[in-house]
Amino acid sequence: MVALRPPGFVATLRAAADAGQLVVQPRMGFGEVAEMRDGLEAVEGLPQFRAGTITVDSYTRLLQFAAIERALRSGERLNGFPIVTHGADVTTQLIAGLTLPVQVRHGSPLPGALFATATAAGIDAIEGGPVSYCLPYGRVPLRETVPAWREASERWAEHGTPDRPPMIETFGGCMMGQLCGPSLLIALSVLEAIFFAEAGNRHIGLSYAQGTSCDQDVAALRVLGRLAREALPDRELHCVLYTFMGLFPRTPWGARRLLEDSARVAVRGGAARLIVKTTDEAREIPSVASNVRALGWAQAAAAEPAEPDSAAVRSWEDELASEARRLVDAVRELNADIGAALIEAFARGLLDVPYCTHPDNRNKARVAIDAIGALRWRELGALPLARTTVHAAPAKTGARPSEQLLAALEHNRRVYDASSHAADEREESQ
Amino acid sequence: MNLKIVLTGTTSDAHTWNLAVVGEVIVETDHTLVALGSPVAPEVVAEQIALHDPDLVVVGTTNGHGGADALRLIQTLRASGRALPPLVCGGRLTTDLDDEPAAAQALLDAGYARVFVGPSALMLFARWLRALRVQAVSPSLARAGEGA
Repeated sequence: MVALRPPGFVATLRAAADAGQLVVQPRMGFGEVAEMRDGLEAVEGLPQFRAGTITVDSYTRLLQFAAIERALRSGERLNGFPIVTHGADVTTQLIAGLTLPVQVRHGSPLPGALFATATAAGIDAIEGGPVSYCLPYGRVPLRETVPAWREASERWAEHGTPDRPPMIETFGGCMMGQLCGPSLLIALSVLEAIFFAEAGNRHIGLSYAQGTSCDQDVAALRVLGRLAREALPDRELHCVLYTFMGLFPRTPWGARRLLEDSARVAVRGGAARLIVKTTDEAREIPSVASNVRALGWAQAAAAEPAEPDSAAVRSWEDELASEARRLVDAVRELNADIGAALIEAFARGLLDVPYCTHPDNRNKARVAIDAIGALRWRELGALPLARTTVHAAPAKTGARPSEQLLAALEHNRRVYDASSHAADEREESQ
Repeated sequence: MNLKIVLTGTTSDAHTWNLAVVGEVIVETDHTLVALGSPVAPEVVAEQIALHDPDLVVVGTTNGHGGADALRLIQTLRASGRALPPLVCGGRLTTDLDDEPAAAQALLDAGYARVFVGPSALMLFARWLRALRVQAVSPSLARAGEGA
């Protein structure tokens, strides 16, 4: 039986680019096929341009297949779609006849089985990376994830057809999800894109996670695009912005404003896609309804005329481009093989992700949020950046490092929940 | 006095920022931190305890399933028959707050030296940690901190 495949992901990206429109996409995963299909159809109901997501559950990501069997027997709710357990045929049927493209999202250090099932099911968009799906997700060493991802990426690149080519997106611009210097996120995204390209991939997405300053994030997105095109001039590339992944504002107006700002940043920064967060991110599994609402708000905000750049944006572009280039070059100089270069770079601390406790990460680098809300390096560790980059954040009297970290984690929530937005609340309730 | 402290999440909890904050508390209190991140399987915790021989193990959790996971953890560790350092646990133990006191008590009954829950959990842990003044590693580690 021939199943009707969803539209190609790359074809959708091209159409959206021609139309000058942002593609919005949720994170969404349910254990049951019917519920997953309902979720995909709910997103399908939005106007162009939108993409569907099948988020894979945590047990599958960590190859704990026995735990899935146990969960299904005990009625435990999975936090995503167990694609390997359900298998390729079921997944093919799951997406059959949908009129929106679908991407599988996950977080697997060793992605072979997952990629194989996705390929066999006709999925044409996926994501991850040897570093970005290693360091934040457990203790599998880089020396294992690099070859595993190389093999999976090579096989990924080989499947598909010229009119339905496969797309792979690097998670390197996200890593721990917050409190990382933008130049490091840019560098990691570019380096993993190079990794995917060397494995034969022609269509590559580069991620960047929204931080604490719209100007800084607009600049970072532009620098990401520019550096990626310099490094990979013969590939079809696009940038993806992730709406802020940290503590979300608790007020309805604050959450909506943050989400809308992410859409504006995506458009101004030249991103082709936006992966949203919902207003009920306190729950592990956002509801379909809140996802659809968030996507709708994002689309509306993206359609607004873009704000002109402030001088700060240009200044950030220069600074972030200089730092990111330095980081990328320092890594590439280590070895002609990008995988080996990445392993060595982390071993030497030339790459160092703040607050990442993976054994292969030095965890000496630190950032702080400055007086106007931008992320700045506070400690460089062995990162090969000029010492003048380091910005000593104005320390509150008596504030311990743990208190400063808590304040940084709560920054966006505090700013967006501020009472000056109460006017929007009155508007909302009318 | 510098303690070597292993900080770990639980089997099912993917949240790591709660542990980052607890880690900062440990470091700013001048102790040596061995951070395992999250999620972490009980066997890995056992391995790391054997490897590092810590003075204290801190289990942090925030996803609402930590009560059950932390219980399984200490049961697994005790079943191994190996000598253990004191363990403490903190964060959000249950999805329903009404169940949390019972979950905390179950952990204490199972052998955790201290359990830190509620809105002031982090502050209580930090205060307890700063008050530790013991020379030898023993279950009295917990009692030495009380009343501080």
